[in-house]
Amino acid sequence: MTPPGREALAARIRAFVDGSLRGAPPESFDELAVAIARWQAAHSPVLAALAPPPDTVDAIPPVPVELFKRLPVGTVTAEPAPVCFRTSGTTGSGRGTQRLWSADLYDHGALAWARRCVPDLPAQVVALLEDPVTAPDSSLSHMVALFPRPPGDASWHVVDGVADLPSLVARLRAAEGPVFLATTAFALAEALTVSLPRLPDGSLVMITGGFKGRATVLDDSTLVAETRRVLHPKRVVTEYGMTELSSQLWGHPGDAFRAPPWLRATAVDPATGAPVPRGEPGQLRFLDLCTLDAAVHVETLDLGLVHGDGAVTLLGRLPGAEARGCSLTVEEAWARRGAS
Amino acid sequence: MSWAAVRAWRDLLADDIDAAPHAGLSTAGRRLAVTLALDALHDEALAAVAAMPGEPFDRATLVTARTVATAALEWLAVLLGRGTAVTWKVPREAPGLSGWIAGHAQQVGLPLVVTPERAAVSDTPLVVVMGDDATVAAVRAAARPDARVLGFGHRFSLAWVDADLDPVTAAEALARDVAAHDTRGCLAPAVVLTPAPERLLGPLSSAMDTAQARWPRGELWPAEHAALRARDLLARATGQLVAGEGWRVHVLPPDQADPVARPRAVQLVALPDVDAARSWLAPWRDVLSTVASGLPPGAPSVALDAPRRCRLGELQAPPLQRWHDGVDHLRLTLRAG
Repeated sequence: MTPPGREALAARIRAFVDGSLRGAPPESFDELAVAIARWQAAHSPVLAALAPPPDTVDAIPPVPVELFKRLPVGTVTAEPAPVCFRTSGTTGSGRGTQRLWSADLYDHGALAWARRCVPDLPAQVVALLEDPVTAPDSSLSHMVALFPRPPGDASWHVVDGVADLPSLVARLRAAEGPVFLATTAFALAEALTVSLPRLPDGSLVMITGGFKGRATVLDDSTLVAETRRVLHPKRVVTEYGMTELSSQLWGHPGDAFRAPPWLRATAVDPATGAPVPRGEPGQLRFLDLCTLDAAVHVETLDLGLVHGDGAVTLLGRLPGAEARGCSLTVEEAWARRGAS
Repeated sequence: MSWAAVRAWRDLLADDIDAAPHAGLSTAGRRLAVTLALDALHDEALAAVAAMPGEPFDRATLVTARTVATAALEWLAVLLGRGTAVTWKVPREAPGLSGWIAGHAQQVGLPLVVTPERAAVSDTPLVVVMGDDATVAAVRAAARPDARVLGFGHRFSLAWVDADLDPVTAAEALARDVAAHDTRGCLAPAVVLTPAPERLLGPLSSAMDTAQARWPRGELWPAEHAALRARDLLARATGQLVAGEGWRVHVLPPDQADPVARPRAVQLVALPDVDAARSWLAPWRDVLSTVASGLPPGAPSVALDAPRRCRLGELQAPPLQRWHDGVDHLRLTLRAG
């Protein structure tokens, strides 16, 4: 049962999203973030155990992504969750999970920021992704399914984790008018190994994610150059999202990712958790007002820069994951637990 | 045979500990790590290895990934003592103590060279490699077809503390095992299982504090800081966190503990008996390295299947004469082995 107070908070968040896009948010980011965090602490045993209900935005505990693999983080504790997004688990570790009472805020924020960042997003969507009907726990597929106009005008070309390249080629050959080709970096790298047709004029390519745990690896600039050479899109756009968050950042190759006004990125010193000056590298944390049902403040394992305007440059994973020598890694441990 | 030179090399290293590169450890932590490794190379142990029958290889390659700073020492002592010329392939970005170790070996005429070049593995009849599965597979593929390749993948170790063991003595022994190498490497206690965590928690916290004062924790990588913070919160949400400067004890329920060691951190897990420990271990039994239990002068007290069993406080001080992860490496590093 949805905890009391959710609808009122959701309405405040929707108003913040809409107002901030007009340049006039109805209340302060900090005030709304604290209200969300206090509501989450009141209805989430896990979050309540981490810290007392915060009085200030700085007191909102950042929840490491590792905890989303282990615990029912957030206000949805009963199974099955009405909406459940899971990480891919490509490295063999446990799958991080965001449980939601509803995808209403996810959809509202994702669509609003995508339209702002990619105003010329073509109506037809070709997705080198799992179909959200068969993979309802993929937040990426869920987001991309919001984009076609009319709704539902999308084709999906990954089946059981494997790219269905013949169907992709056939779909692209049959395309009339510009398409929005949405893909992960590793799927695109694989697709570029076959003979793909040139995209129709006005088409865009969206690339997201990296190559963690994948056999095919291309550096970002090579991938983008090859994409432009083969597909001739009008533009390539980049997207950064996380299963544990409900909002996304958008950018262009080589540029920083733009965060929506309802998402605040911070780079911190990994040793102390203290913020580093703007423009200096640190461990990334995100305060996302649209993440109402899980945890509003999330700590990633990514290293990045947060610029003066709030945009984010990703620098990769935090260094030192390989410093373990001959001892077991968390990925190996969880792969074995999962297999037992 | 070069056993006299090996003894001289060992003594040079012992005399020169304070000049060793820090390798991420504090000065006292580095001294502890090197001393533990050199202590295993005592005269009797070297003599016993020297007495083993068999024909040594003329050349060998030792491949170490980013690993504990002294992991190579016992391998080098055995191979060099037998007269095998060793090429030691180290990670280019993390040479650790290799330069210091090799410099002293060369000073006494031992045929040891250090290189970051991958090509080193393709030329010798014996290759010993420590690393993850992908590294071991890559080395196997690169080795010459007739080479003997001994591969050692990632492992973990644990401690079992009986309910009737003196908790103060057990805690002091555990804290030393945790402090050595800052809990990195496969011999570090990733988890402490006990039927009576409430008896152990207080003494263990005190002992961790004392160990930190004696052997301060060295540098951590950013990812290690992040992982510690995540485990802190996991303990706060599901169990109990006790922390001091440079150390933590995470009291966790069995289903939240895992066999992954974190620097200067102990997962303390309540399990009623050894059968429960066996069940808990089931997913990871084949990557278990060492189980520590009991205290001197007694023998290890629990019968958990592991390639190596030792007493508390001895996890990080393996004897030279043992099987390495279940492999009779002293015999297999001989041509006729």
